[in-house]
Amino acid sequence: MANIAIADPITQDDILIKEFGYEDHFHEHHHGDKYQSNFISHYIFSMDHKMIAKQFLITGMIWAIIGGAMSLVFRLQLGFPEESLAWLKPVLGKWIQVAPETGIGTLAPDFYYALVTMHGTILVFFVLTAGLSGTFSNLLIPLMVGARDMASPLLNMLSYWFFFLSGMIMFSSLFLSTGPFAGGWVAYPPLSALPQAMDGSGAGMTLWTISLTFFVVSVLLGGINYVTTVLNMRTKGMSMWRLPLPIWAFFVTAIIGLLSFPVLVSAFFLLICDRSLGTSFYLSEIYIGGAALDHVGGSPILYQHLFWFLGHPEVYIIILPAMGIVSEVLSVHARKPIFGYKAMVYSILAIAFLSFIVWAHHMFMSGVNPFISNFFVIFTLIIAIPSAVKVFNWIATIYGGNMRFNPASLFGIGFVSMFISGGLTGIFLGNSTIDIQLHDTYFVVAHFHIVMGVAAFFGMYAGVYHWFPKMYGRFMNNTLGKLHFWGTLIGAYCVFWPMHYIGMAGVPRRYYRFDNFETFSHFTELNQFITIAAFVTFAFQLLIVINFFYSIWYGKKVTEKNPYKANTLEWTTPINAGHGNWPGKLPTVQRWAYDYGKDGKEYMPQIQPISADESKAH
Amino acid sequence: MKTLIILLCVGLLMMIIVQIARVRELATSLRGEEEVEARRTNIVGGGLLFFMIAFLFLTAASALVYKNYFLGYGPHESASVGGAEIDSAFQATLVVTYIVFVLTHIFLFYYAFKYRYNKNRKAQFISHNNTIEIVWTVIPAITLSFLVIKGLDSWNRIMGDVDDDEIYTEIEATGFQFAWQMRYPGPDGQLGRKDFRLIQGANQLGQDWEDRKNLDDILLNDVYLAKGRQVRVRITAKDVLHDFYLPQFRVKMDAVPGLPTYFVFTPTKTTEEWREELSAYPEYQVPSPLDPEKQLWETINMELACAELCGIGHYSMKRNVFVLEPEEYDAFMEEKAKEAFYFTSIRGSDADPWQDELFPREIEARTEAFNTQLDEALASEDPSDNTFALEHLQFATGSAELTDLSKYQIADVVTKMEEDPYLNIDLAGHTDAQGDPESNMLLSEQRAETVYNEIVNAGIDPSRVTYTGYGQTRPIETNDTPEGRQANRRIEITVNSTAPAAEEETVEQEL
Repeated sequence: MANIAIADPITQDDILIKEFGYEDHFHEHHHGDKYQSNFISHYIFSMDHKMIAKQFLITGMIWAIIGGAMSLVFRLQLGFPEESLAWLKPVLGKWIQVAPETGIGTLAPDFYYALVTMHGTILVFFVLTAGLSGTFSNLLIPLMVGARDMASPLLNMLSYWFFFLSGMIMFSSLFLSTGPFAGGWVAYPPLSALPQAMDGSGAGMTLWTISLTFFVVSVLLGGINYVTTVLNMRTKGMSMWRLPLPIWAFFVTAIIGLLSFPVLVSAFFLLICDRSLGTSFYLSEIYIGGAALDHVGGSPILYQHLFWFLGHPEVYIIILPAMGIVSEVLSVHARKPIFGYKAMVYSILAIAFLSFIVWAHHMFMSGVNPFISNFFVIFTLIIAIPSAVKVFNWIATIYGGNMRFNPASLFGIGFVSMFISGGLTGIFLGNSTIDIQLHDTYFVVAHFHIVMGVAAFFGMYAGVYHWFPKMYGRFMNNTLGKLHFWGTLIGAYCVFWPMHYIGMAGVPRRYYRFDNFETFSHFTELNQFITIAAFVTFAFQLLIVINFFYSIWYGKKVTEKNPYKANTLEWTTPINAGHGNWPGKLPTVQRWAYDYGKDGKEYMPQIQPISADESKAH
Repeated sequence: MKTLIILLCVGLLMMIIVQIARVRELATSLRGEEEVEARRTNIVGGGLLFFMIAFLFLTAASALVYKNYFLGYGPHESASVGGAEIDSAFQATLVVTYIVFVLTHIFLFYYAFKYRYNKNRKAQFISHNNTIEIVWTVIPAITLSFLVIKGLDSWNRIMGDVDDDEIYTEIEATGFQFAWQMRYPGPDGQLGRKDFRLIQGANQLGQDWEDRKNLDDILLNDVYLAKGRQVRVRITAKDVLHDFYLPQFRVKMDAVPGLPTYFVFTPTKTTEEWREELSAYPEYQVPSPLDPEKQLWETINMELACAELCGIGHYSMKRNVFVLEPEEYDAFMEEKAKEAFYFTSIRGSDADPWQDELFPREIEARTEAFNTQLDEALASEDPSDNTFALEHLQFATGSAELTDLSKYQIADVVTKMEEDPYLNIDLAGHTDAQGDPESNMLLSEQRAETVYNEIVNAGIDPSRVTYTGYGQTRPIETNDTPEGRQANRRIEITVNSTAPAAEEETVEQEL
């Protein structure tokens, strides 16, 4: 690998690194190259952070396609409940019940609920946690802080393989005869604890808990690594206040994950005890299946507290990396410093802190004492302030810039739009009074899909388009990328905007059909519109998949190390960076990451020393 | 085959798109990158601006089209006191967030358009501005404080439990897979105790019949409420989590097994008034699915739904909600109290702990039945109609000792005889054909005598009462079945009242 790097033309950056770089004698020890010298150790059990990032990304993409396709099936049920789904029988088998007389195939309600549950689990954990945070933390942390690799490449590799194992277990649960778990991605007991309550709560739930436990192992191994790498392996001169914003975001995300995911495991542990050992942590006074159970004294609400103690920070685990990526992408392509760097960092920290004390806003209507909700309302709406600051800062970053429009920056702009639209509806839901009516309606579905689903995807897409050249040494196709952007922006709003109206009218989520209720049954047209929009939007997502794999082999080759004229360290590595990232010395950092357009110079890389005549302020 | 063709077409389409995209990229390098890029930048910038205008227009336009779904607007007004506060909080938030939504989107897309790439222009170096940052931190903080204070003020009023001195009706909703069961307190105004271990057979709520408060509780499927009366719904669940959701009343609360929750609210309009309001809106002037002769608003009902995933039937937990005028409600409940669940389904069964006791309503019913029988007997022309069985007189097996509960029927006879001084009676004891005929004869006579004694002891002149024992000689049913024998064991009463017409008038005048 190293000899490719030598073939690159010598640039100003190379000279700077040679002059000011830090000699860590990395390349005098060759054990590093040894452990990825053959196919298996290079592509499969790789310990190189860049390869692991690609593994996370591609696995995440596969899961996104599976999870997205699931949503299409249940959208068909919601939009066109009378249409025959018999054509899906070859794929879904017994879950499509074909009436012998008419030949009309209907989706079994069991499987409808299984699809909804799996869609949520897969998208939240496998795509937007592992696929987003896993990919970009791995790719960017060592490159941007100037490290040879992660603090522990071995743990990093294990982190991916635990994720892989977790995914395999979840995937296998799809083929159980009783079906995968179907009690909603939040898995509230007693529904999730009692196989009598639902078929999916039997073996499906067992595999679900095992899978997610392995997933948590993966997140923790990754998180420890990210935190350690950011704290200990920054190159000379890279103080915390010089870190690019994505790194701040990944760093704080990892800390949130380390503090909250273990709580999820303890929630699962107690749930497993209730399921298998006859304990009563969550179960009390239950009569089901014609028998009164022995469980007395437990509380289902305890599970909800434990679950949302992870669950709420989890949404910031999803959105913070996207915010970090977008901050960087917008700044680079606007050719302007990110506006209010310190405010951005402080708002990340504030959001992270607040994310731990707002969990019960998911539980206003769950039977907790209404008095305690007062505090959670206040903390929840305080989060709107750092969020608003971030939005204003992104807009101010665009203001007065010289904005290049490419798929990455467009998705960055789209992200801000989505984050505004989805964030504002959070002000309704975070206010417990309004939540009385809107709780568990389609308004909530619209809110969280826009603010943490679509927005996080936009951040992820911005990152993929922006750093693809760093990953594969080639560009993705811009035309396909822009087409993908417009299709996704318009499509996603068409899918989720109408859901607000359905939700205001009071229609509850997780309904298999609406025609039992007069109040909920007159939204057929909107539901059909949403379903059609979902299909179109999904089709547009295939463009990035095609573009991605096509460009890996046939994309336009990157010819210069720093195609975007960006300041951060990853663009000082060779186009196809080998193990250790920098062929010679490690670069040292002389300035912050956002000196764009300063003193009339278009950009000043972080490795460029501050010259004597440079203006002080930044 | 069809699927294959579709797949092939999709594949082909994808290939075409990829090829076009590739050609476009190649064309860029042929025609000179800078020039093409500049043109594309303009197109995308214009696209962003166009998107902004279209987006803001369509969101506003669609909001107008669907305005009737907005909380507190048109037909979607709350039907409860607290609900109106929720609607007002919603609208306040809507105004604030809509302004922010429009402004931020204008700035975002307009600036992206305005500051699109131009190779002759340089980006400005603006890294921060403390003043403006403080401004846009403080403004949201103030706005949010206003919304939080307004919201929490309503929240604590809506969610507060009732005080002891408040007037309210407590009803109970129990969710189970997959329906709701409503329980109303009955005339005593109190719901009885229940225990999930007691759920058995007909007693699907596990009501504890030892608790007298349960005996008059009324079980109904649907929700009945009185307009203007505060109601506290006790919300419970039998199996898994459910959620008691009344969309029209802005009421929502989880039903949790093992942890009763509550929601207090006051309905502000009756079902009829609500329907009247809906009649003004075209979407409710369509034919009703229930009755094609009528319009939707004439048949539509307020509803109770489940809003917490509870299993595969979650979407089907529907009940209707009826709000009545208070007087109507009272009359309705009085009527339903007669069919209280205990009396229709538990009374007299093995689960009934009160078999040795008669409840006032039962005593009254028996008195009424006796009086009717007596009046009919006296009114009849046919002398054979003057005789009927006193079916509630019961004796211990093989003895002439009256059971405790027989005293009510004795009292009925005595009361009637006190009212009507000319009423004379003859008591006849009968047995079934089991055992020795002679001892049966003796037993029947002793039993008739016991009854005679009770009546005389109650202060009736002995000359007005006679008694005889007939043993097994006069069966009215077959003696081959237990039911027949039961009918044959009886005390019959023969009545006659020979009051002179003139004296009857005097009695009436005295009254």
